[in-house]
Amino acid sequence: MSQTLLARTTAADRGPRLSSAKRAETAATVLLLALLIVAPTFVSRSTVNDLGQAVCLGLFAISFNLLFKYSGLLSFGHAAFFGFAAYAEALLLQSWPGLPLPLLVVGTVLSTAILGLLLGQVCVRRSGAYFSMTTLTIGAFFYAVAFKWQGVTGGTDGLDSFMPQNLLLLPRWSLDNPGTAQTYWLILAILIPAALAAWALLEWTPWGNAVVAVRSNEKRAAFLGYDTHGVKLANFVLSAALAGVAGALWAIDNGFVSTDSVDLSFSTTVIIVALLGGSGWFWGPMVGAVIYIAVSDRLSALTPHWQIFLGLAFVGIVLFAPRGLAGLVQSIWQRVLTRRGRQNV
Amino acid sequence: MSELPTLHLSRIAKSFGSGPVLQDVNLSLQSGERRGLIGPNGAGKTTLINIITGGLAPDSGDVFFQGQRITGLSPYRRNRIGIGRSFQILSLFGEMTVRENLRNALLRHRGLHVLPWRAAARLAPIEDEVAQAAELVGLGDVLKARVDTLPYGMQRRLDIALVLAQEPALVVLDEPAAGLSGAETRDLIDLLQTRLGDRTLLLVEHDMDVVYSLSDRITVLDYGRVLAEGSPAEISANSDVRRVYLGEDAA
Ligand SMILES: Nc1ncnc2c1ncn2[C@@H]1O[C@H](COP(=O)(O)OP(=O)(O)O)[C@@H](O)[C@H]1O
Ligand SMILES: [Mg+2]
Repeated sequence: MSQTLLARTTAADRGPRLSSAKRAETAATVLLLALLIVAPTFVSRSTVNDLGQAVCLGLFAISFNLLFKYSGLLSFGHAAFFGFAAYAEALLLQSWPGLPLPLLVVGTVLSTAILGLLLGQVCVRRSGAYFSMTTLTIGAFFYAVAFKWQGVTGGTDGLDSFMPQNLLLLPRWSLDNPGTAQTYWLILAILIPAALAAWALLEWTPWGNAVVAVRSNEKRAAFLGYDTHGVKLANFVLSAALAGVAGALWAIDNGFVSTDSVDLSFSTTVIIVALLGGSGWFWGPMVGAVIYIAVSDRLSALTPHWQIFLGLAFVGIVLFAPRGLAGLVQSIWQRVLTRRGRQNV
Repeated sequence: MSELPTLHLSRIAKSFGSGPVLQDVNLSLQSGERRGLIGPNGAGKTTLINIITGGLAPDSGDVFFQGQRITGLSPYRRNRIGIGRSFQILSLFGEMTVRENLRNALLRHRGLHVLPWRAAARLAPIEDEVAQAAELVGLGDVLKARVDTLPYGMQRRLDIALVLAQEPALVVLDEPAAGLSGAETRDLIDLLQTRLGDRTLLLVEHDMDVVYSLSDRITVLDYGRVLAEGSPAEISANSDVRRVYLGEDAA
């Protein structure tokens, strides 16, 4: 068998007919990530600040969508993991101000993953509305803790003025100016590898195949030898860990942590962001986050009632572009291609 | 040294809210034996299959597989030790292609299903096996078709292919000929006669042609109890069986 055939006959390959779709998807991925990386060279500083927020929100939405798209589980309390990571990082830094950044992030993400392992045991036992209600309860609980446990979390004041000092390999860089391109790129340097790893895992490996098989028909998967509980639990842990990366980076970008990061309404926002961008594509939620931040910024400058308009726009998307904006772009692109194909005939 | 039975059921009982469904069911399948399990609708055949494969726990009694007590084992563990089953009501990966369905079965069977990387060298042979498994049941031309768009007969064959692809020691089939045409049923008999090899078979089926063609022995279940057990000739001559089952079939 030739090398090219070997490369094509992998687990995530959906057969030769669809492999062109897979190629287009990969191209779109590269384009999106390249745009995010070079963006600071041609946008204003305040936009860079927004972008930093957007990519963190985007990774958070991707982590939500890991459960929604690949396991068919709708979490109503995903901010618990995002917020937990943000607070955990702040507390770690309070105890060890000199902790090198990579260790800080790894420690934060690891503790969030362990939290995911503990809570996931309970959550993935049930699916559908039961799963959503369990996650909602967990979300409410974590918000209450952040709000009430003032001695540790600072209550409504939150925790501020924390700044990783020790960037290890980048001694001349500093995070003292949130919103600069330096901070943004530093965030991307952690965010993109984390997201790419999850993408590769779910879209290109037998593991991703297993996760999708369990979602597609849990009963049959079990009788074919899949440990369906274990598969869903592992995906839950990965989702929590990614939410942890997002929360950790968001805290670094902001320089403070508040109850906003565990608020139930933030758990709702992330659902809107993911569906806005399109939950059918791994990177759709990232697109959704960039648009969400851009639009909510413009709208909030125009009217104090911006959330009403955003809500209406969301309903419009759900009704008229159920696959989100990424899905909309894809179907327009496909129509252009077929029309061109017809002209060529 | 006598060989342990591949499957041994000891005093299985099961009730649902509506009352007892299985009572004191004993069943032993020798290695390589092909056993037909027949009985009227509602006799408890599917329930018994669920108890054998792990979908349901019995209220009392035990299930042994190759001498090992597996009564409390989950379905996936029973599959991994060599029990494969099909479903009376088709249960496939409907929105996936035939290729992807077989891949799900084979990746798992080869223990590659949780590989977190693309091991091209290890995965390439799987693709060959997928193609062979499809060819075996005459689905070689529709590898790329979405399963829920296929005709029912093809879906039935895919169901069997998923089971056979994993080379289980015990094959449990729940009405594999249900809904098939006469020609399709003959194809199914051919397929099973050529592909089963020395695997042990437990076959639940209403079509007596299929049962007689494939079974070494037949067990008759009626109202959750074993009514009779014997060779196909003995069963077709048994007056009790003729009355409750075969008679009903002829009516
Ligand atoms: N999950 C269940 N809950 C309640 N009753 C059930 C359930 N499954 C099966 N039954 C009842 O058990 C009896 C046997 O069913 P089943 O094993 O499907 O019979 P068969 O496969 O022989 O037609 C039927 O009366 C059926 O209604
Ligand atoms: Mg039945």
